[in-house]
Amino acid sequence: MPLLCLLACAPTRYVRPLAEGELAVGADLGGPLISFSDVVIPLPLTNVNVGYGLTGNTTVFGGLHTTALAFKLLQLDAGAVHAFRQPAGFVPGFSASGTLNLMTGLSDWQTRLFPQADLNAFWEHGARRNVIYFGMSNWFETKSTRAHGEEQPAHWLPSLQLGYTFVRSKWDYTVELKQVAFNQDESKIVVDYYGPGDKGASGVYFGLRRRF
Amino acid sequence: MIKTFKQLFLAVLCTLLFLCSSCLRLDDNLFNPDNTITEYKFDNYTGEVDFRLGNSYTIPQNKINRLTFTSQTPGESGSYTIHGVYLGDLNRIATDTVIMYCHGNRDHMDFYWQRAKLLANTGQKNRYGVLMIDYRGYGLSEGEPSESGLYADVNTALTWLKQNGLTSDRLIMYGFSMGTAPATIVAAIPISFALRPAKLILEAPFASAAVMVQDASRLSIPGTFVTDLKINNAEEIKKVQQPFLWIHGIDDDFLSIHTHGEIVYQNYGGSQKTAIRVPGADHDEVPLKMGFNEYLAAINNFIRK
Repeated sequence: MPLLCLLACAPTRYVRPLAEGELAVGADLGGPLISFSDVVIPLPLTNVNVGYGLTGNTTVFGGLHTTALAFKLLQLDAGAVHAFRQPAGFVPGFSASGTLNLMTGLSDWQTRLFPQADLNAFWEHGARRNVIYFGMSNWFETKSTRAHGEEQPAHWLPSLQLGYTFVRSKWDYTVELKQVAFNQDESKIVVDYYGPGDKGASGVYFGLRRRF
Repeated sequence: MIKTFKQLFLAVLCTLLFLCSSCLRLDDNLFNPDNTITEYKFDNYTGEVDFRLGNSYTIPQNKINRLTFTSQTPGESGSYTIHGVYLGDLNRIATDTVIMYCHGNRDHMDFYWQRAKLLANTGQKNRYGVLMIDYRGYGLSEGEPSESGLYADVNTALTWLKQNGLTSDRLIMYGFSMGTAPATIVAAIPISFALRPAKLILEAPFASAAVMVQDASRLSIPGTFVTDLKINNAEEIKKVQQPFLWIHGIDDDFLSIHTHGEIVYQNYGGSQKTAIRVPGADHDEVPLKMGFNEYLAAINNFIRK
Protein backbone atom coordinates (compact mmCIF):
# COMPACT_ATOMS: atom_id res chain seq x y z
CA MET A 1 0.00 0.00 0.00
CA PRO A 2 2.20 2.84 -1.19
CA LEU A 3 1.25 5.62 1.09
CA LEU A 4 0.90 8.51 -1.27
CA CYS A 5 -2.47 6.88 -1.87
CA LEU A 6 -3.59 8.38 1.40
CA LEU A 7 -3.67 11.72 -0.35
CA ALA A 8 -4.33 10.36 -3.83
CA CYS A 9 -6.81 7.65 -3.16
CA ALA A 10 -9.63 8.88 -5.36
CA PRO A 11 -10.42 10.97 -8.40
CA THR A 12 -11.93 14.40 -7.93
CA ARG A 13 -15.22 13.99 -6.09
CA TYR A 14 -17.32 16.51 -8.01
CA VAL A 15 -16.22 18.99 -10.65
CA ARG A 16 -19.65 19.96 -11.94
CA PRO A 17 -22.20 20.10 -9.13
CA LEU A 18 -25.30 17.94 -9.17
CA ALA A 19 -28.69 19.42 -9.98
CA GLU A 20 -30.61 20.83 -7.05
CA GLY A 21 -32.12 18.00 -4.99
CA GLU A 22 -30.25 15.35 -6.93
CA LEU A 23 -28.64 12.47 -5.02
CA ALA A 24 -25.74 10.43 -6.34
CA VAL A 25 -23.99 7.33 -5.06
CA GLY A 26 -20.69 6.26 -6.51
CA ALA A 27 -17.55 4.19 -6.22
CA ASP A 28 -14.02 4.76 -7.43
CA LEU A 29 -11.19 2.44 -8.31
CA GLY A 30 -7.57 3.25 -9.02
CA GLY A 31 -4.52 4.91 -7.57
CA PRO A 32 -0.91 5.88 -8.05
CA LEU A 33 1.17 3.87 -10.47
CA ILE A 34 3.88 1.80 -8.84
CA SER A 35 6.65 -0.40 -10.13
CA PHE A 36 5.78 -3.87 -8.90
CA SER A 37 8.06 -6.73 -9.94
CA ASP A 38 9.23 -4.61 -12.89
CA VAL A 39 5.65 -4.06 -14.03
CA VAL A 40 3.93 -0.68 -13.75
CA ILE A 41 0.44 -1.02 -12.28
CA PRO A 42 -2.11 1.35 -10.77
CA LEU A 43 -3.00 0.53 -7.20
CA PRO A 44 -6.54 -0.87 -7.00
CA LEU A 45 -7.71 1.51 -4.29
CA THR A 46 -11.42 1.79 -3.69
CA ASN A 47 -13.88 4.10 -2.06
CA VAL A 48 -17.64 4.56 -1.95
CA ASN A 49 -19.13 8.03 -1.90
CA VAL A 50 -22.33 9.98 -1.87
CA GLY A 51 -23.27 13.49 -3.01
CA TYR A 52 -26.34 15.73 -2.80
CA GLY A 53 -27.12 18.84 -4.78
CA LEU A 54 -27.97 21.60 -2.31
CA THR A 55 -28.49 24.06 -5.13
CA GLY A 56 -27.73 23.95 -8.82
CA ASN A 57 -24.27 25.35 -8.04
CA THR A 58 -23.41 23.65 -4.75
CA THR A 59 -23.08 19.97 -3.93
CA VAL A 60 -22.09 18.42 -0.62
CA PHE A 61 -20.38 15.05 -0.61
CA GLY A 62 -18.71 12.42 1.54
CA GLY A 63 -16.74 9.25 1.07
CA LEU A 64 -15.48 6.15 2.84
CA HIS A 65 -12.12 4.76 1.69
CA THR A 66 -12.63 1.03 1.68
CA THR A 67 -9.09 -0.07 0.85
CA ALA A 68 -7.73 2.02 3.72
CA LEU A 69 -10.32 0.34 5.92
CA ALA A 70 -8.85 -3.01 4.97
CA PHE A 71 -5.60 -1.79 6.52
CA LYS A 72 -7.41 -0.93 9.76
CA LEU A 73 -7.41 2.74 8.85
CA LEU A 74 -10.73 4.54 8.90
CA GLN A 75 -10.46 7.24 6.24
CA LEU A 76 -13.43 9.49 5.61
CA ASP A 77 -13.83 12.66 3.63
CA ALA A 78 -16.55 15.27 3.59
CA GLY A 79 -16.83 18.53 1.75
CA ALA A 80 -18.65 20.78 -0.66
CA VAL A 81 -18.08 21.95 -4.21
CA HIS A 82 -19.35 25.22 -5.61
CA ALA A 83 -19.41 26.18 -9.27
CA PHE A 84 -18.83 29.89 -9.43
CA ARG A 85 -19.01 30.02 -13.19
CA GLN A 86 -20.85 27.72 -15.58
CA PRO A 87 -19.17 26.75 -18.88
CA ALA A 88 -20.29 28.39 -22.10
CA GLY A 89 -18.92 26.99 -25.33
CA PHE A 90 -15.16 27.08 -25.24
CA VAL A 91 -15.18 29.20 -22.13
CA PRO A 92 -14.72 26.85 -19.19
CA GLY A 93 -16.72 26.72 -16.05
CA PHE A 94 -14.90 26.89 -12.75
CA SER A 95 -15.58 25.12 -9.49
CA ALA A 96 -13.85 25.07 -6.15
CA SER A 97 -14.20 22.59 -3.36
CA GLY A 98 -13.17 22.30 0.25
CA THR A 99 -12.77 18.92 1.90
CA LEU A 100 -11.81 17.59 5.29
CA ASN A 101 -10.05 14.23 5.30
CA LEU A 102 -10.25 12.31 8.54
CA MET A 103 -7.96 9.38 9.30
CA THR A 104 -8.33 7.24 12.41
CA GLY A 105 -6.16 4.23 13.08
CA LEU A 106 -8.39 1.42 14.27
CA SER A 107 -5.52 -0.23 16.14
CA ASP A 108 -4.90 2.66 18.55
CA TRP A 109 -7.52 5.30 17.62
CA GLN A 110 -4.97 7.98 16.82
CA THR A 111 -6.64 10.53 14.56
CA ARG A 112 -5.42 13.08 12.02
CA LEU A 113 -7.33 15.64 10.02
CA PHE A 114 -6.16 17.04 6.71
CA PRO A 115 -7.81 19.97 4.91
CA GLN A 116 -7.96 19.89 1.15
CA ALA A 117 -8.82 22.55 -1.43
CA ASP A 118 -9.42 21.90 -5.12
CA LEU A 119 -9.90 24.17 -8.09
CA ASN A 120 -11.07 22.83 -11.46
CA ALA A 121 -11.86 24.21 -14.89
CA PHE A 122 -14.39 22.21 -16.88
CA TRP A 123 -16.01 22.15 -20.28
CA GLU A 124 -19.19 20.43 -21.44
CA HIS A 125 -19.78 18.90 -24.82
CA GLY A 126 -22.24 16.66 -26.60
CA ALA A 127 -25.94 16.17 -26.17
CA ARG A 128 -25.48 14.59 -22.75
CA ARG A 129 -23.11 17.32 -21.57
CA ASN A 130 -20.09 15.09 -21.02
CA VAL A 131 -17.46 16.83 -18.94
CA ILE A 132 -13.75 17.29 -19.52
CA TYR A 133 -11.88 18.89 -16.69
CA PHE A 134 -8.47 20.00 -15.56
CA GLY A 135 -7.52 21.19 -12.14
CA MET A 136 -5.40 21.22 -9.06
CA SER A 137 -5.93 19.47 -5.76
CA ASN A 138 -4.12 20.60 -2.62
CA TRP A 139 -3.63 18.72 0.62
CA PHE A 140 -2.30 20.57 3.64
CA GLU A 141 -0.26 19.06 6.46
CA THR A 142 -0.71 21.29 9.49
CA LYS A 143 1.64 19.55 11.92
CA SER A 144 5.04 21.14 12.36
CA THR A 145 6.84 18.00 13.54
CA ARG A 146 7.03 14.38 12.50
CA ALA A 147 8.44 11.19 14.01
CA HIS A 148 11.20 11.57 16.61
CA GLY A 149 10.54 15.30 16.93
CA GLU A 150 11.96 16.11 13.52
CA GLU A 151 10.65 19.02 11.51
CA GLN A 152 7.80 18.13 9.15
CA PRO A 153 9.25 19.07 5.76
CA ALA A 154 6.12 19.19 3.60
CA HIS A 155 3.03 21.25 4.38
CA TRP A 156 1.59 21.66 0.87
CA LEU A 157 1.01 18.59 -1.28
CA PRO A 158 -0.45 19.59 -4.63
CA SER A 159 -1.69 17.32 -7.40
CA LEU A 160 -2.76 18.06 -10.97
CA GLN A 161 -5.64 16.18 -12.52
CA LEU A 162 -7.07 15.78 -16.01
CA GLY A 163 -10.33 13.88 -16.34
CA TYR A 164 -13.28 13.03 -18.51
CA THR A 165 -16.79 12.07 -17.46
CA PHE A 166 -19.13 10.22 -19.80
CA VAL A 167 -22.63 11.20 -18.84
CA ARG A 168 -25.53 8.85 -19.44
CA SER A 169 -29.13 9.18 -18.35
CA LYS A 170 -28.57 7.96 -14.79
CA TRP A 171 -24.95 6.88 -14.75
CA ASP A 172 -21.68 8.81 -14.97
CA TYR A 173 -18.35 7.17 -15.88
CA THR A 174 -15.15 9.01 -15.08
CA VAL A 175 -11.55 8.39 -15.96
CA GLU A 176 -8.92 10.65 -14.42
CA LEU A 177 -5.17 11.00 -14.68
CA LYS A 178 -3.42 12.59 -11.74
CA GLN A 179 0.11 13.73 -10.97
CA VAL A 180 0.30 13.42 -7.21
CA ALA A 181 2.52 15.51 -4.94
CA PHE A 182 4.52 16.79 -7.87
CA ASN A 183 6.57 19.04 -5.61
CA GLN A 184 7.97 16.12 -3.61
CA ASP A 185 11.18 14.22 -4.31
CA GLU A 186 10.36 10.52 -4.27
CA SER A 187 13.82 9.25 -5.19
CA LYS A 188 14.97 8.32 -1.69
CA ILE A 189 12.07 6.40 -0.18
CA VAL A 190 11.24 2.72 0.13
CA VAL A 191 8.38 2.78 -2.40
CA ASP A 192 8.99 2.81 -6.15
CA TYR A 193 6.39 5.25 -7.38
CA TYR A 194 6.09 5.64 -11.12
CA GLY A 195 6.04 9.00 -12.81
CA PRO A 196 8.07 11.51 -14.76
CA GLY A 197 11.40 12.13 -13.05
CA ASP A 198 11.64 11.76 -9.30
CA LYS A 199 8.78 14.09 -8.46
CA GLY A 200 5.60 12.60 -7.04
CA ALA A 201 3.67 9.79 -8.63
CA SER A 202 1.31 9.42 -11.56
CA GLY A 203 -2.11 7.92 -10.95
CA VAL A 204 -5.00 6.48 -12.95
CA TYR A 205 -8.54 6.38 -11.58
CA PHE A 206 -11.95 5.18 -12.69
CA GLY A 207 -15.24 6.31 -11.21
CA LEU A 208 -18.81 5.12 -11.49
CA ARG A 209 -21.76 7.11 -10.21
CA ARG A 210 -25.52 6.56 -10.16
CA ARG A 211 -27.72 9.64 -9.98
CA PHE A 212 -31.20 9.57 -8.42
CA MET B 1 -19.42 -1.49 -24.12
CA ILE B 2 -20.58 0.83 -21.34
CA LYS B 3 -22.58 -2.03 -19.85
CA THR B 4 -19.58 -4.33 -19.96
CA PHE B 5 -17.43 -1.67 -18.33
CA LYS B 6 -20.04 -1.19 -15.62
CA GLN B 7 -20.24 -4.92 -14.92
CA LEU B 8 -16.46 -5.27 -14.88
CA PHE B 9 -16.08 -2.27 -12.60
CA LEU B 10 -18.68 -3.56 -10.16
CA ALA B 11 -17.15 -7.04 -10.19
CA VAL B 12 -13.69 -5.66 -9.35
CA LEU B 13 -15.14 -3.36 -6.72
CA CYS B 14 -17.12 -6.17 -5.08
CA THR B 15 -14.04 -8.40 -5.07
CA LEU B 16 -11.95 -5.69 -3.43
CA LEU B 17 -14.65 -4.95 -0.89
CA PHE B 18 -14.80 -8.65 -0.08
CA LEU B 19 -11.04 -8.75 0.35
CA CYS B 20 -11.33 -5.70 2.53
CA SER B 21 -13.39 -7.69 5.01
CA SER B 22 -10.14 -9.19 6.28
CA CYS B 23 -7.71 -6.65 7.70
CA LEU B 24 -4.39 -6.10 5.99
CA ARG B 25 -1.27 -4.46 7.38
CA LEU B 26 2.04 -3.49 5.86
CA ASP B 27 4.06 -5.58 8.32
CA ASP B 28 4.90 -8.29 5.81
CA ASN B 29 6.39 -5.71 3.46
CA LEU B 30 9.39 -5.51 5.79
CA PHE B 31 10.39 -8.99 4.74
CA ASN B 32 11.46 -10.02 1.26
CA PRO B 33 12.68 -13.60 1.72
CA ASP B 34 13.35 -16.32 -0.82
CA ASN B 35 12.73 -19.76 0.62
CA THR B 36 12.66 -21.63 -2.68
CA ILE B 37 16.29 -22.75 -2.61
CA THR B 38 17.17 -26.36 -1.87
CA GLU B 39 20.75 -25.75 -0.77
CA TYR B 40 23.17 -22.95 0.01
CA LYS B 41 25.79 -22.39 -2.68
CA PHE B 42 27.78 -19.51 -1.17
CA ASP B 43 30.74 -18.97 -3.56
CA ASN B 44 28.96 -20.92 -6.30
CA TYR B 45 25.80 -18.84 -6.06
CA THR B 46 25.09 -17.30 -9.45
CA GLY B 47 22.03 -15.24 -8.53
CA GLU B 48 21.96 -11.48 -8.14
CA VAL B 49 24.24 -10.07 -5.44
CA ASP B 50 25.35 -6.57 -4.53
CA PHE B 51 28.99 -7.28 -5.39
CA ARG B 52 31.36 -10.20 -5.90
CA LEU B 53 34.76 -10.41 -4.26
CA GLY B 54 37.97 -11.49 -5.97
CA ASN B 55 39.83 -14.68 -5.18
CA SER B 56 42.00 -12.99 -2.59
CA TYR B 57 39.00 -12.84 -0.27
CA THR B 58 38.18 -16.54 -0.55
CA ILE B 59 37.65 -18.29 2.76
CA PRO B 60 39.19 -21.77 3.06
CA GLN B 61 36.60 -24.54 3.04
CA ASN B 62 37.68 -25.75 6.47
CA LYS B 63 36.76 -22.34 7.85
CA ILE B 64 33.22 -22.45 6.47
CA ASN B 65 31.02 -24.14 9.03
CA ARG B 66 27.38 -24.84 8.17
CA LEU B 67 25.18 -24.75 11.26
CA THR B 68 21.60 -25.39 12.27
CA PHE B 69 19.87 -24.16 15.38
CA THR B 70 16.48 -24.66 16.94
CA SER B 71 14.79 -21.33 17.53
CA GLN B 72 11.74 -20.67 19.62
CA THR B 73 10.01 -17.37 20.21
CA PRO B 74 9.30 -16.77 23.92
CA GLY B 75 5.65 -17.47 24.65
CA GLU B 76 5.10 -19.52 21.51
CA SER B 77 4.88 -23.28 21.43
CA GLY B 78 6.41 -24.01 18.03
CA SER B 79 10.11 -24.10 17.21
CA TYR B 80 11.95 -23.73 13.95
CA THR B 81 15.16 -25.03 12.46
CA ILE B 82 17.33 -22.04 11.60
CA HIS B 83 20.32 -22.27 9.29
CA GLY B 84 23.54 -20.37 9.73
CA VAL B 85 27.17 -20.29 8.74
CA TYR B 86 30.22 -19.57 10.83
CA LEU B 87 33.28 -18.30 9.02
CA GLY B 88 36.32 -19.10 11.09
CA ASP B 89 37.78 -21.69 13.42
CA LEU B 90 35.15 -23.05 15.80
CA ASN B 91 37.85 -23.80 18.36
CA ARG B 92 38.79 -20.12 18.56
CA ILE B 93 35.33 -18.88 19.52
CA ALA B 94 36.32 -19.26 23.17
CA THR B 95 39.29 -16.95 22.79
CA ASP B 96 38.77 -14.63 19.83
CA THR B 97 36.48 -11.80 18.78
CA VAL B 98 33.36 -12.69 16.80
CA ILE B 99 31.23 -10.51 14.52
CA MET B 100 27.54 -11.43 14.56
CA TYR B 101 26.32 -10.30 11.15
CA CYS B 102 22.56 -9.61 10.90
CA HIS B 103 21.69 -9.48 7.23
CA GLY B 104 19.05 -7.41 5.47
CA ASN B 105 15.56 -8.29 4.29
CA ARG B 106 16.35 -9.93 0.94
CA ASP B 107 16.38 -13.53 -0.19
CA HIS B 108 18.73 -15.60 1.98
CA MET B 109 22.37 -16.08 3.05
CA ASP B 110 23.61 -16.71 -0.48
CA PHE B 111 22.66 -13.13 -1.33
CA TYR B 112 24.65 -11.83 1.64
CA TRP B 113 27.50 -14.34 1.40
CA GLN B 114 29.90 -11.87 -0.22
CA ARG B 115 29.29 -9.40 2.61
CA ALA B 116 29.91 -12.00 5.31
CA LYS B 117 33.00 -13.18 3.47
CA LEU B 118 34.28 -9.64 3.25
CA LEU B 119 33.86 -9.21 7.01
CA ALA B 120 35.77 -12.45 7.52
CA ASN B 121 38.72 -10.63 5.94
CA THR B 122 38.69 -7.83 8.52
CA GLY B 123 42.19 -7.30 9.89
CA GLN B 124 43.40 -10.32 7.98
CA LYS B 125 41.74 -13.42 6.62
CA ASN B 126 39.81 -15.10 9.45
CA ARG B 127 41.22 -12.68 11.98
CA TYR B 128 37.71 -12.53 13.47
CA GLY B 129 34.99 -15.14 13.35
CA VAL B 130 31.81 -14.15 11.53
CA LEU B 131 28.41 -15.72 12.24
CA MET B 132 25.50 -15.16 9.88
CA ILE B 133 22.08 -16.80 10.06
CA ASP B 134 18.99 -16.94 7.89
CA TYR B 135 16.09 -15.70 9.96
CA ARG B 136 13.00 -17.90 9.97
CA GLY B 137 11.38 -17.95 6.56
CA TYR B 138 14.63 -17.06 4.79
CA GLY B 139 16.51 -19.60 2.68
CA LEU B 140 16.32 -23.02 4.26
CA SER B 141 15.21 -21.76 7.66
CA GLU B 142 11.75 -22.94 8.63
CA GLY B 143 8.77 -20.79 9.54
CA GLU B 144 7.49 -17.41 8.48
CA PRO B 145 9.34 -14.12 9.01
CA SER B 146 8.18 -11.97 11.89
CA GLU B 147 9.53 -9.17 14.02
CA SER B 148 9.60 -11.30 17.17
CA GLY B 149 11.14 -14.10 15.12
CA LEU B 150 14.06 -11.87 14.13
CA TYR B 151 14.99 -11.33 17.75
CA ALA B 152 14.41 -14.94 18.77
CA ASP B 153 16.55 -16.27 15.93
CA VAL B 154 19.42 -13.88 16.65
CA ASN B 155 19.25 -14.81 20.32
CA THR B 156 19.42 -18.49 19.36
CA ALA B 157 22.62 -17.77 17.45
CA LEU B 158 24.03 -15.79 20.36
CA THR B 159 23.19 -18.64 22.71
CA TRP B 160 25.15 -21.01 20.48
CA LEU B 161 28.12 -18.64 20.52
CA LYS B 162 27.94 -18.43 24.30
CA GLN B 163 27.78 -22.21 24.57
CA ASN B 164 30.93 -22.34 22.47
CA GLY B 165 32.78 -20.05 24.83
CA LEU B 166 32.16 -16.55 23.52
CA THR B 167 31.92 -13.87 26.17
CA SER B 168 30.18 -10.51 25.80
CA ASP B 169 33.38 -8.50 25.72
CA ARG B 170 34.38 -10.23 22.47
CA LEU B 171 31.07 -9.90 20.64
CA ILE B 172 30.63 -7.30 17.90
CA MET B 173 27.04 -6.84 16.61
CA TYR B 174 26.85 -5.80 12.96
CA GLY B 175 23.48 -5.01 11.39
CA PHE B 176 22.75 -4.13 7.78
CA SER B 177 19.44 -2.52 6.78
CA MET B 178 16.65 -4.64 8.32
CA GLY B 179 19.34 -6.45 10.32
CA THR B 180 19.99 -3.22 12.19
CA ALA B 181 16.80 -3.91 14.18
CA PRO B 182 17.97 -7.07 15.95
CA ALA B 183 21.53 -5.71 16.19
CA THR B 184 20.32 -2.56 17.93
CA ILE B 185 17.89 -4.38 20.21
CA VAL B 186 20.60 -6.80 21.37
CA ALA B 187 22.83 -3.85 22.24
CA ALA B 188 20.01 -1.82 23.81
CA ILE B 189 18.30 -4.50 25.90
CA PRO B 190 21.05 -6.98 26.71
CA ILE B 191 19.07 -8.53 29.56
CA SER B 192 16.81 -10.16 26.99
CA PHE B 193 19.64 -11.82 25.10
CA ALA B 194 22.31 -14.42 25.75
CA LEU B 195 25.18 -11.98 25.31
CA ARG B 196 25.70 -8.23 25.62
CA PRO B 197 27.76 -7.01 22.68
CA ALA B 198 30.88 -4.99 23.31
CA LYS B 199 30.37 -2.82 20.23
CA LEU B 200 27.67 -2.05 17.70
CA ILE B 201 28.03 -1.44 13.97
CA LEU B 202 25.04 -0.32 11.91
CA GLU B 203 25.19 -0.07 8.13
CA ALA B 204 22.31 1.79 6.46
CA PRO B 205 19.95 1.59 9.45
CA PHE B 206 16.33 2.67 9.34
CA ALA B 207 14.98 4.94 12.04
CA SER B 208 11.54 3.45 12.61
CA ALA B 209 8.42 2.16 10.94
CA ALA B 210 6.90 5.60 11.50
CA VAL B 211 9.62 7.29 9.45
CA MET B 212 9.11 4.80 6.63
CA VAL B 213 5.39 5.55 6.63
CA GLN B 214 5.91 9.31 6.81
CA ASP B 215 8.57 9.34 4.10
CA ALA B 216 6.25 7.43 1.79
CA SER B 217 3.08 9.38 2.56
CA ARG B 218 4.66 12.83 3.07
CA LEU B 219 2.21 13.23 5.93
CA SER B 220 3.03 13.30 9.63
CA ILE B 221 0.90 10.26 10.39
CA PRO B 222 1.53 7.57 12.99
CA GLY B 223 3.12 4.37 11.74
CA THR B 224 0.33 2.54 13.52
CA PHE B 225 -2.07 3.71 10.81
CA VAL B 226 -0.83 0.93 8.56
CA THR B 227 1.59 -1.30 10.46
CA ASP B 228 1.88 -3.12 13.76
CA LEU B 229 5.69 -3.24 13.55
CA LYS B 230 7.35 -2.03 16.73
CA ILE B 231 10.81 -1.66 15.20
CA ASN B 232 12.23 1.65 16.33
CA ASN B 233 15.99 1.96 16.07
CA ALA B 234 15.79 5.71 16.66
CA GLU B 235 14.44 5.12 20.16
CA GLU B 236 16.30 1.90 21.02
CA ILE B 237 19.67 3.45 20.14
CA LYS B 238 19.16 5.89 23.04
CA LYS B 239 19.72 2.96 25.41
CA VAL B 240 22.94 1.83 23.75
CA GLN B 241 26.06 2.69 25.72
CA GLN B 242 28.55 0.54 23.83
CA PRO B 243 30.84 2.16 21.24
CA PHE B 244 28.88 2.69 18.04
CA LEU B 245 29.95 2.86 14.39
CA TRP B 246 27.41 4.11 11.85
CA ILE B 247 28.01 3.75 8.10
CA HIS B 248 25.52 5.07 5.56
CA GLY B 249 25.57 5.86 1.85
CA ILE B 250 24.86 9.52 1.20
CA ASP B 251 22.90 8.58 -1.92
CA ASP B 252 20.84 5.86 -0.22
CA ASP B 253 17.58 5.90 -2.18
CA PHE B 254 15.90 3.24 -0.04
CA LEU B 255 16.52 4.43 3.51
CA SER B 256 17.45 8.08 3.28
CA ILE B 257 20.56 9.03 5.21
CA HIS B 258 18.78 12.21 6.33
CA THR B 259 15.46 10.82 7.59
CA HIS B 260 16.77 7.47 8.84
CA GLY B 261 20.53 7.22 9.42
CA GLU B 262 21.19 10.67 10.83
CA ILE B 263 18.36 10.28 13.36
CA VAL B 264 19.78 7.00 14.64
CA TYR B 265 23.27 8.50 14.89
CA GLN B 266 21.98 11.63 16.58
CA ASN B 267 19.96 9.66 19.15
CA TYR B 268 22.78 7.33 20.20
CA GLY B 269 22.86 7.31 23.99
CA GLY B 270 26.52 6.56 24.62
CA SER B 271 29.68 8.63 24.39
CA GLN B 272 31.75 6.86 21.72
CA LYS B 273 30.24 7.18 18.29
CA THR B 274 31.82 7.26 14.86
CA ALA B 275 30.10 8.17 11.60
CA ILE B 276 31.14 7.27 8.09
CA ARG B 277 29.00 8.92 5.42
CA VAL B 278 29.91 7.36 2.11
CA PRO B 279 29.74 9.70 -0.91
CA GLY B 280 28.02 8.28 -3.96
CA ALA B 281 26.85 5.12 -2.21
CA ASP B 282 23.30 3.82 -2.57
CA HIS B 283 21.67 1.57 0.02
CA ASP B 284 23.55 -1.56 -0.93
CA GLU B 285 26.79 0.01 -2.16
CA VAL B 286 28.65 1.05 0.97
CA PRO B 287 31.52 -1.50 0.83
CA LEU B 288 31.79 -1.12 -2.94
CA LYS B 289 31.91 2.69 -2.97
CA MET B 290 34.16 2.91 0.07
CA GLY B 291 36.51 0.39 -1.46
CA PHE B 292 36.84 -3.00 0.19
CA ASN B 293 40.20 -2.22 1.77
CA GLU B 294 39.06 1.08 3.23
CA TYR B 295 35.83 -0.52 4.45
CA LEU B 296 37.72 -3.34 6.16
CA ALA B 297 40.21 -0.91 7.66
CA ALA B 298 37.36 1.16 9.12
CA ILE B 299 35.74 -1.92 10.64
CA ASN B 300 39.03 -3.18 12.02
CA ASN B 301 39.98 0.19 13.49
CA PHE B 302 36.64 0.39 15.23
CA ILE B 303 36.94 -3.11 16.66
CA ARG B 304 40.50 -2.60 17.85
CA LYS B 305 40.33 0.87 19.34
